[in-house]
Amino acid sequence: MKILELKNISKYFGGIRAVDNVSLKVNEGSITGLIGPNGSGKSTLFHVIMGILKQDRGEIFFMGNRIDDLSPYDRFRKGLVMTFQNPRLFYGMTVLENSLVPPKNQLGEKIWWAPFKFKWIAQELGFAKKAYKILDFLNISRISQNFASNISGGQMKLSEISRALMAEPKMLLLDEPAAGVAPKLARDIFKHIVELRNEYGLTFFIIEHRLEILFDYVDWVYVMHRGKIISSGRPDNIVKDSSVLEAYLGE
Amino acid sequence: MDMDIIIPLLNSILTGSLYSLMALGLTLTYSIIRFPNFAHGEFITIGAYIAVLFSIIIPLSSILNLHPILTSIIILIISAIITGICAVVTHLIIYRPLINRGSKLVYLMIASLAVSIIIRYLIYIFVDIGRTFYKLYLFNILPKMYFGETIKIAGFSLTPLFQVSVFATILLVFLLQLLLTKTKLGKAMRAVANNSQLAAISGIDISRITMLAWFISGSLTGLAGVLWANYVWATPTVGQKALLSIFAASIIGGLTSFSGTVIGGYILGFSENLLLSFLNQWFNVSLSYKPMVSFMIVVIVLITSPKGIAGINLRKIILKIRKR
Amino acid sequence: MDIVGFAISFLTFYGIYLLLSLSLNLEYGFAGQPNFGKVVFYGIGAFTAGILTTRITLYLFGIHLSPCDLQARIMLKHIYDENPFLPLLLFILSIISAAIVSGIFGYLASKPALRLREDFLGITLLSFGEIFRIFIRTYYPLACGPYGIGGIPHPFNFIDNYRLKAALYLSIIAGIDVFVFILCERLANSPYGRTLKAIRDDELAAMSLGKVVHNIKGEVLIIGSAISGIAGALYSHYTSYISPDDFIPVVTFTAWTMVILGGTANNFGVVIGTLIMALIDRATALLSQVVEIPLEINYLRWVFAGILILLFLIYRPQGIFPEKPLKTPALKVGKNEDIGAKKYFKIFWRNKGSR
Repeated sequence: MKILELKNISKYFGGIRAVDNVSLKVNEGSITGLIGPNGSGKSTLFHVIMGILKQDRGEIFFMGNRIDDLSPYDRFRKGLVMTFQNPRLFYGMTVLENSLVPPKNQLGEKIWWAPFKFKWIAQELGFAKKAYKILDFLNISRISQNFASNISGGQMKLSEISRALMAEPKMLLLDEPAAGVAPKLARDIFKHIVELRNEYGLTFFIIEHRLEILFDYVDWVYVMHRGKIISSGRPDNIVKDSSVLEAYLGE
Repeated sequence: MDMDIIIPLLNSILTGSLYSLMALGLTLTYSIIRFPNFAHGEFITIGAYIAVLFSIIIPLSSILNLHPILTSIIILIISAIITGICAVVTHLIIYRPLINRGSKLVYLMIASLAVSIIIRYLIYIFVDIGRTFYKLYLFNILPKMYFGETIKIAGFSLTPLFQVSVFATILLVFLLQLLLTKTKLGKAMRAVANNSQLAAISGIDISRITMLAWFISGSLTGLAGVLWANYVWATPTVGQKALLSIFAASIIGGLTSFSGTVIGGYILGFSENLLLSFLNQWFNVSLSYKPMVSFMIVVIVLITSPKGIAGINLRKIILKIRKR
Repeated sequence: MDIVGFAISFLTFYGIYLLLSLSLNLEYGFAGQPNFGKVVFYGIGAFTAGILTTRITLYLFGIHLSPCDLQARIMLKHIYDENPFLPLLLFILSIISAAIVSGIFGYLASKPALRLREDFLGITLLSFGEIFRIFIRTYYPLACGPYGIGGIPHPFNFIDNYRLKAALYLSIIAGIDVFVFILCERLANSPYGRTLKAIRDDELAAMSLGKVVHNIKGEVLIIGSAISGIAGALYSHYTSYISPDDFIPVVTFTAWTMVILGGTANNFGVVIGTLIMALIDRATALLSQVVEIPLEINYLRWVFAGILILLFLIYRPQGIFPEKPLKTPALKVGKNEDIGAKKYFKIFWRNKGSR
């Protein structure tokens, strides 16, 4: 069944149609790819789905409910989580602290309870252990105490992903999770993605440029060009699609 | 014509002209350094006290034996140049190192507050030295300058200060406009203001252009400061007091628009004089509320159109009205 | 030279300013909200205390005079002398109402903070400070215009010994300081503090991770302003006379220098930073009494302070004591997974249902 559905979504910037009448569906538990040449509007689309940008036209449905007039934090509460092309970590905090931001219903986050440690410490310990486990799963547990500004680019990407996982998401929007990362690490990331999908039933919607890696792991692919969806289908069909080839070469 | 209108009207034009010059300096530096320079007001004070220096303490009128108007013009020019140099120096010693180190916007603003304090209190010390060692009272003083005689036109009495201020404003605004649009240097400045990275790649020497912009900004403001001191008398806080009004004028131009700033200067001038005198006569609003006027304007502009006049998109507004 | 007297007055001044700098550290150091209008909330607290105390007293005793009247002030002094516990009660009332009124204005100030870009926000808040001062100065009925409010009672008015009076007042300030310091430390080293830092570091990401940014910004400004208001009330009752010209932008600037010097997002650093700036302030005042310099030393002090802060901004913007990681259990997890599990084992076992 569809976890995410977009109907006629459009986003304009002045005269430019960054996203032009996009309709698509993502099935629950799938790993779906979104590809297209640079500037085709993929990141913009993700920002609209997440609510960071408001669509000019169209509707967005998540798990059957309309979410397009909700703010990003409400969409997050419903289980939609996003990572960014350039990691938006909290650079004044350590990697572990970053991972402790997403968990919902933290008593210690309320200003009334925060000064009283005994109220939230058990919860906090639980989250800290879980965060550490996730960092371990992604093999970056040794940098857990580093300030997020003090780690390599690849580690930043992984930190952002582990932070996203702490949110107990239903669906993850990953914007180029393996960009600027060595091919082996990129494959590891995707292997982790598949593991997570298999074990926990998470849905992944992924923007990625390295098609040779992406196509080995996705179930379905959407292709965007100049704001529109020009093609969709299984990876092995997409590679045969001439319009896709034209779009990439024409740029 | 009703006397109650003439004087506020003339004051509006005088104040508006000087505000325009001072605010243009602010707009010029903001477009290049991209943060509000809270020390800008101190350039007014510097200009004012240099005029005091050369008209009272070391009177040029006795050194050079020239026509008094010529002497005054020379004092104007000297003040402008020295203030311009001071502006460049503050940029070189303080703002440039901060910007090069990638300082946060908030810290740049705090730095400009620190600069304004340093300059202001240095001037206080200068005035204090004058008091203790030279027995001069410089805390509240009128520079001794001569700009000619009052002219009467159609029932309007135009004071010499009025004549010089309006003339100087028209001349300088025209020259500045010419510089920015017709000369290579001016176009380079606009390029840097627009997109400094692109400008750098195109081969423009950012550092030189920035220093020039600061010099022009400082000299415009310093010159206006001399004339302003002739109007409200020179005190160490004369610049700080005018700062809010200048910011308001510049904000009307969205902090970046040349024409918007000039319009803003006159809007401020008229609001503080004509409008206030109107409110005073008809609604008994106290004249001491003058600074509130500029603040109100800042608030209104920021709420309705944060980009100032430059941000007002007439087409959008017309479309909105049509939709209803 | 009266060393004890000097120490008490210095520490009083320090204690009041510490409230301003700690609250600014919470607002800016932790939550990233640059409060350029700090002096306004300080002033609102001070004037709330002054206006409330004088007017209530006059009302209670049926005196139909404005507190601006010289005669009213004389009568107030008389009343305070006759009723020893009244000043104390009024003082407690002042503190509470100053916190509330300043807090409300803090909330109002958070609204433009949400919409405006940083530079416009700075201009607006700084100007608002000046407008506040000019408004109080001009609108006579509110706070006696440029003459200010006098006749604000010292809570320990009934004590004759001047030294004891001052020392007791200092101990109250110290108590409030300790409370506020502990509060700020606890707020900072908790998940709430983490959320503040998240908003500071990347508002958009914080929102995308479920934080309701505008509410939290409002909360922080309310608390910060309430604390500033209390500082204002403490100032009022200490000096017994306040005028609008006590509340100039330089106060905001001083609070900022204390935070930047000591170290943003480091409460201990701010304690030290405030101490240093207070020392510079009072030491120069002392110096002018001791050493014979023909010039007004006050002016030099400001030039020196300005240069000092510029040096820090250029060469050590993080301050003397830089920011440290939050002191929550997360600090220990990872370094050593066994974090005294015995202590929290029972609680943790009960809350095991995480994944």
